[in-house]
Amino acid sequence: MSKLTDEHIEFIADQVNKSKIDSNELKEDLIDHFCCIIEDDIRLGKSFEESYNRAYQIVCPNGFDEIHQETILLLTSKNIIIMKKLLFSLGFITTVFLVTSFLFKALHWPGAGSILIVASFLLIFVFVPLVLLYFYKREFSKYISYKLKYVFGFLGLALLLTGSLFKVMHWPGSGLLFLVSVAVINFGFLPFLFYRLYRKSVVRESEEHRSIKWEYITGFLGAVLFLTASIFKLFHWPGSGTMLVSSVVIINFGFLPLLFIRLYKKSAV
Amino acid sequence: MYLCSMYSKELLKGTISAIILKLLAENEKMYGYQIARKVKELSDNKIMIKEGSLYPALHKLKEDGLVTVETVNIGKRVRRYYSLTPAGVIVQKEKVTEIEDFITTLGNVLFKS
Repeated sequence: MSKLTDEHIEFIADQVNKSKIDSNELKEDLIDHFCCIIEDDIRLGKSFEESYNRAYQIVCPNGFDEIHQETILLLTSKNIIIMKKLLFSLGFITTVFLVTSFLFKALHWPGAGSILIVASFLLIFVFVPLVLLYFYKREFSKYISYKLKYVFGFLGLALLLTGSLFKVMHWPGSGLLFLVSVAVINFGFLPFLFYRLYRKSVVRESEEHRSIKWEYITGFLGAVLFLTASIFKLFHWPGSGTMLVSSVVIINFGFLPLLFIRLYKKSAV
Repeated sequence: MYLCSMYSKELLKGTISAIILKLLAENEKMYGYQIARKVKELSDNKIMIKEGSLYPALHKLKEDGLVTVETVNIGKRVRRYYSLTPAGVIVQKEKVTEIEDFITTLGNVLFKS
């Protein structure tokens, strides 16, 4: 016989329903589990509020989402393995096509263009989306900025690769494609990518993570300047040299030292 | 992180499904809280299965067809009783035998000079 009132159970259910958990089975399990712990505590004379807080600390000190993530990870482990196999196979096929097309192109054999088009199609519309989908599925986040990172990442990379194909094939519009791709990467993908990395690093407060924050900031600035300089160079616009030098200085004296120091410390532990 | 005990996480990793299956083999049907309590009791508080590991493992066992669920309404909440399927009975025996064999082998390697 339950010692909890309907209001108590509804309160617990509300808390569980507010989480990201979408499986009704897992919700039912957790609600019952909370009720059991709380009932035991109430029997010992504790109040409902006190018991609920204690139960929360026991069951999910890092939030309900952790259990949700762990469940999805376990349930999708087979799919992840299948996806990995698919990725490696596609990566192999795409690379073979790309290398073959370069060989045909270099030796001026007929068909180089067609092979390159097939390779680019595989790369842009099959391999790259699958790689991004794989990483997207492996992480779990409720933040919009996180999802947008993948959307802009795909768009930027797809445009960049299409631009490269147009350039190699001497089709018109490659410059415009490069311009749009760099704009998408600089103003869409990179800000979201580094913002999420930055948020992650500021959550942790240790000295090590403060240096990671600077690693991301310099990495972001270096990448944006480098890509912008490349586009300016391509269009023969003024200022590309200054930007290129600045980006290399930032990367060489900011980003890379911080990155390698962190990796060195990590490997020395 | 999920298996909280006086033993290291590495030692217990991989044993949670065997523990759950064995308990279900000995008790016709059990719900999550009951399983966690039973493990704590049987191990003299040395092994405490955290909920963040118990429920994902139970749901994975269900997905793999090794356990089945029966729901019972208790007032406004639902209690989910887990029990072994015929396939679960077979896998349970295999897993327990495997762990027994592993413990014997480990004993031979570590303690026999």
